[in-house]
Parts: sequence; structure tokens; C-alpha cells
Amino acid sequence: MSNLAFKSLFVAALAATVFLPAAASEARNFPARSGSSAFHADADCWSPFGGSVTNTCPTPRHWYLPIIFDAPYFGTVSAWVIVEGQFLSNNVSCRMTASNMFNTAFSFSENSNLTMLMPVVGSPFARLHHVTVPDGTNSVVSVDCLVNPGGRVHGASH
Amino acid sequence: MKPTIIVIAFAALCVAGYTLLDDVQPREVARSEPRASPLPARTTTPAWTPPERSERRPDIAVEHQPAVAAASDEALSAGEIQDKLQTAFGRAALGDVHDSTRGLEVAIRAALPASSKLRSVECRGSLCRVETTHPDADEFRAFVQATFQPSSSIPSGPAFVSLVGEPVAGQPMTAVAFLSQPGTELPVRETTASLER
Repeated sequence: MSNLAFKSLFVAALAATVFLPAAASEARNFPARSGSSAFHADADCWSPFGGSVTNTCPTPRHWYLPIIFDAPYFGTVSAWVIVEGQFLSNNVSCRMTASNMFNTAFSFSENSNLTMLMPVVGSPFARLHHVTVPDGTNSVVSVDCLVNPGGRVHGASH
Repeated sequence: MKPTIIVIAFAALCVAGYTLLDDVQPREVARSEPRASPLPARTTTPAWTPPERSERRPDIAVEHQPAVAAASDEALSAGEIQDKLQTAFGRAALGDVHDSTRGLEVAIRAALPASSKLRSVECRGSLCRVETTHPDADEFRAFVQATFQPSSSIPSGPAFVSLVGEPVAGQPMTAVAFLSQPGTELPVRETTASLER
């Protein structure tokens, strides 16, 4: 009986090995706080709240947020980027980038700009970014945001 | 191996497969939604419906934006993407070439590092092609950073830039960038008709 149980477990493990890779490619949320200031010198410019970060410096600063897509991913990948500004002066503009591992090819999404739409000022704003991946599984995808003073980056999701 | 064990093993495989596939299927449909529509015509307002993810978060404003060119699971190398863009650019109708080209040239020159050179700037339809040379890979990357970061004065549409051929140490490197107008997508898949608008 124990032999039967062992073999059943073995088969179950084999089935999991076969099917789990397909199931592992889940949608994911990336809090802005899991990223970093694009430049180390600006590290003290950010005030975290939950998963979000707000630029507390008097001038615009760059925030970098890596996005993980489970391999294999090809063609075009998409991700939401969620930002917020209480006033027009708190503008946040973001762009998704995909590059190969050698940094010799770069693909950029359209640059989103929070204050292009007046009604969204004062509430979280989500924009879908699309980018063509240059080298399949050898690519790196990230979001770069230029955050005005008082602007906030909540995160990204796909 | 006894027949009983084989039957149990087969049943376990079927159950595991059914459970996992049932879980995977709806996600794949949802992910393909935003990419399903064809490239919108330039003269019409692009139809776009916020995908299901926005419905789950009604408190978050979602920008109205154009549909994206149909994507595929086709793996494209950087060279293949560049070839497709070059083909699309070659087939594109000549648009308002003069103004777009002149404005872009000024912005590119401002972002170009000291030792790099601008070879050509040309705009056709919604696509512009920029060719530059750089003494080394670091200058190429500095050019990319200065040109395409969010604070750049370059038009904010989607773009693709890569070195042409394999970089050789000590040799100048040629880079080609394709820039699409805001509200459009790079014609990576559409090599015919999509730019002739």
C-alpha cells in the first residue's frame, strides 16, 4: 500500500512539473516602493506611504520600478502604471522600457503624463503602457517615472 | 507496474491537468484583450474600452487611449524588430515631412553627446527615423538616456532604438531610432498599409 502511495505521489509530482510552469505566469502588482530612486543621490527625496512613494524634494526626480514578467514573454507586453498628484504642479510622467541584456536595444512605450487630463488630478490615475520586447527572455522591463515635487507613484500591475 | 497504479496515475494526471488548465484559461483571455484591436486609423477616434482590470478598481481614473496593434507571441530579436520598422518606414507615405523633421532634428541635436554625430532625420507619416553614430557603447547609452527619458523634449510617442550590427571595440557604432507619433503604436507587425494613412 505504501508503494502505491509513493507511486501516486510521484505521478502527482510529475504532473505538477508538467503543468505548473503554465500556471506560474500570474498577474502581479508591483508597489512603487519595491523600486528605487533612479539616482542614488536622490535617495532622500522620497517619502513612503504603504507601497507608494512621494517626491519630497523641491525639484523633479526619477523613480525606477522593475517589472517582472514570467518567461517566456514575447512580442508586446502591457502593464498598468498608477500615479497620483493632488495639484497640476504634482505632475508625474512615466514610460515603460524594455531593453535587451546587453543594453544595445531599447523599446519605449508612449510617455504618459498625469496632468494631460485635468479631471484625474487629485485621485489615483492608471494608464496602460505597452512595449515591444526586443529579445524575448533576454530582456528587462521597467517603468521610469519623472515625479514632480509632491507627485506620487503608487506602483504597477499586469 | 500494476494496472491499478497505472489507472490511478492517469486519473491523477487528468485531475491535475483539468484543475490547472481551468485556472489558466480565463487569465489568458483577459491578457489578450488590450492587444486584440488593430492599429487605429489616424483620422478616426480610436475605440478603446478599459479592460476588466479597471472595472475591479472603479476608484482609479483610467486614461482613454488608443488601441494597440495586435500583438503576437512571436519572439523577435532586436534586429528583426529593426527590420520590420525599416520596412514599414520604407512603405510609409510621405506626410508633413518638413516640420516634423526640423523639430525632431533640433531636439536630437540637443540630446546628442559631444562626440556623437547625427547622420539623418526623416519623418514619413506617423513614423520618424533617426540615424546617429557614436564612438562607443557608453555614448550610445548616454544618448538613449538623454533622448528618451520622461523629461526629454523629444515627442512622447513609442520608440525603438538599437545599434546596427555587432558593436566592435574601437570602431564607431551606428544606431537607428524609430519614433512613432503620440497616440500611435510602432508598426512592428503591420508592415503594410498601417502607415499609409
